Amino acid sequence: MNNKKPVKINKENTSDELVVKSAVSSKAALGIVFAVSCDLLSGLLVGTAIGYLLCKYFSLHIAFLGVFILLGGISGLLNMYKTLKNLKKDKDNV
Amino acid sequence: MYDPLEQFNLHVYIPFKIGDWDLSLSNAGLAMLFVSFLSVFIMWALTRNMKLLPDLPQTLVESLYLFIRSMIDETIGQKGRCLIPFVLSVFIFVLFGNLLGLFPYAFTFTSHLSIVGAIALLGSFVSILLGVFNKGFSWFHTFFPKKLPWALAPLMIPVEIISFLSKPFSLTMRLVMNMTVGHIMLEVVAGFIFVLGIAGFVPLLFTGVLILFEMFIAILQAYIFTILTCIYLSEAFNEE
Repeated sequence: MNNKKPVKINKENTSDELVVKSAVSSKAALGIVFAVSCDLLSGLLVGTAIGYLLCKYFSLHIAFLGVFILLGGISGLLNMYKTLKNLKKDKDNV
Repeated sequence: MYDPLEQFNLHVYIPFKIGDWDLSLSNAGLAMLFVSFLSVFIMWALTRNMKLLPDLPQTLVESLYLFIRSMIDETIGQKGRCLIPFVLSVFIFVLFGNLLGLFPYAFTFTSHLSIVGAIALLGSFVSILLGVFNKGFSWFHTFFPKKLPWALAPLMIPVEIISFLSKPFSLTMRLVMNMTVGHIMLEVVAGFIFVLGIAGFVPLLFTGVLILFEMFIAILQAYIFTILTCIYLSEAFNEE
């Protein structure tokens, strides 16, 4: 008769979990901070580009460029918030 | 004098044009072809003798697969597992591209906006396709979440559209900036080795340290590029 107990696999200790844990280390967090800061800049640049193109091709008033720079800044902040929220959720799950 | 930016110049090896379309094979194209064939060959070589009890090469590939699967499970959820081939391909392509640039005389194609931008735009395109396929018309609520009052629509819709368009741009910028700055720094420091004569061993040591640091950055940036692609793709599946 087989008296051996079945091996219970702990989800915490599976190899894939360990790989993810090591990847999201404190060093990686520094890289993520830099990565997230790009969101603000890119939102601002895309907003400026859209504003510039609209002003150029539809002959709109230059004030629209200012409006789109502002909207780009807001969207950059929104992107930063969303990315950080998702990364935090991801890290909490790990 | 040697220009540290010279390493990013494109050189045409085989000129080829169809009408206005320039399809010449350049050093960037050659590097991308090399990385593509190398990654396929490595994957084939490591998995050609698949066993129930995996040996070391098979374990390496399985670990990589499980790593990407965990990433997708954490960011998108189990319903996103259909994206494993796409995300794994992006990760390997970017990782090998970053690492290839560390070899002497090799071209760093991940330092070019057009190449990384094309990969990031492909991710956005896949996200839009999957979003429309999964959610139908309600995918457009990405630009205006359901819970918000309609009075905020004139502000939120442009902000969300700019936010959506800026995602591939920011993804591109951070990888390109990291790769470009790292390689310029490496070239500048390496340039001092011969200029300083006998004291050149100091920048030589520093270059060695920088190469190790660049290897870490190459792996980390490939990881960040992939996890952020997963986060952007998650919008196609998850409700805000």
